[in-house]
Amino acid sequence: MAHIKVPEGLPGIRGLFAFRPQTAKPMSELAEVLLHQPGTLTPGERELIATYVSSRNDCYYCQNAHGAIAAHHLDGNEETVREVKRDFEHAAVSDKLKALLAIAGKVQQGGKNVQSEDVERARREGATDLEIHDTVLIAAAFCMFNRYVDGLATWTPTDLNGFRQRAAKVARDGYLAALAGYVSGAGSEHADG
Amino acid sequence: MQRGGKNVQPGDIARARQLGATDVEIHDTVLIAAAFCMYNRYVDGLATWAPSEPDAYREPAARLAREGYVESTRRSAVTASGAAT
Repeated sequence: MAHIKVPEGLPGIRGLFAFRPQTAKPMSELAEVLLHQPGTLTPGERELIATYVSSRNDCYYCQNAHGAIAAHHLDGNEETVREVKRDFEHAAVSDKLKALLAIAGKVQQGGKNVQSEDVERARREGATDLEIHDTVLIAAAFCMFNRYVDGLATWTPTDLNGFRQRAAKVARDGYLAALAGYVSGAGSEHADG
Repeated sequence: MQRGGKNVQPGDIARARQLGATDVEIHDTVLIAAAFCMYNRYVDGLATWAPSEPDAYREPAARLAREGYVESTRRSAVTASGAAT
């Protein structure tokens, strides 16, 4: 049971978003920009970074929710998602994404762990400043999302099929549309205490 | 929280409740802690420049406290884009 009284039947971060719509909206907007809106990194690559960091933070809900979205973007390839979590240096992903995942892993441990060599490696593999920026911010944001979900002990389903079904919808419609599906008026209400 | 979400124990929550904390206050405490695990990594992960003199923080702090974060960020974004052109 969650540490606070959240609406029943909404797993992980969704129960928290329904509990506090004012914070749900900016958090979903951040996810929308970082993971869903068009960018030079594919949505699949960006979701793999989110999944990898969530796995390093041992957040069951986030790594399965975003792992399923990543797999959906990768034409259902769940094996690549598993490889990235297990040992990304030997996963079937580009050398550029490996360099970015290395940066994301350093950020997960703490911002100061990112060394100039890590950034140089990413640049050598063709990463732009914006891609390096977004990688650091995705990794940092998931250090927030993961702690938010686990710090309040939210309920997490164990049936992976539920994650797959939800993933197809989020991958197609994005994070703001997903939020609007169960939180009405996010950002315009006052907390009722 | 700062070390990881799973470190928050039911005993910690019970203590906060005994001392009068509401669910929203507990929620916001967890989210503030989590958000700063993001902001800190963002700032240090990209090795941003930070002034070393405490005085440099007083004036921006007063403005932020007065205007709030959204208005203050909007104003500095306008200034920055003005400086760039």
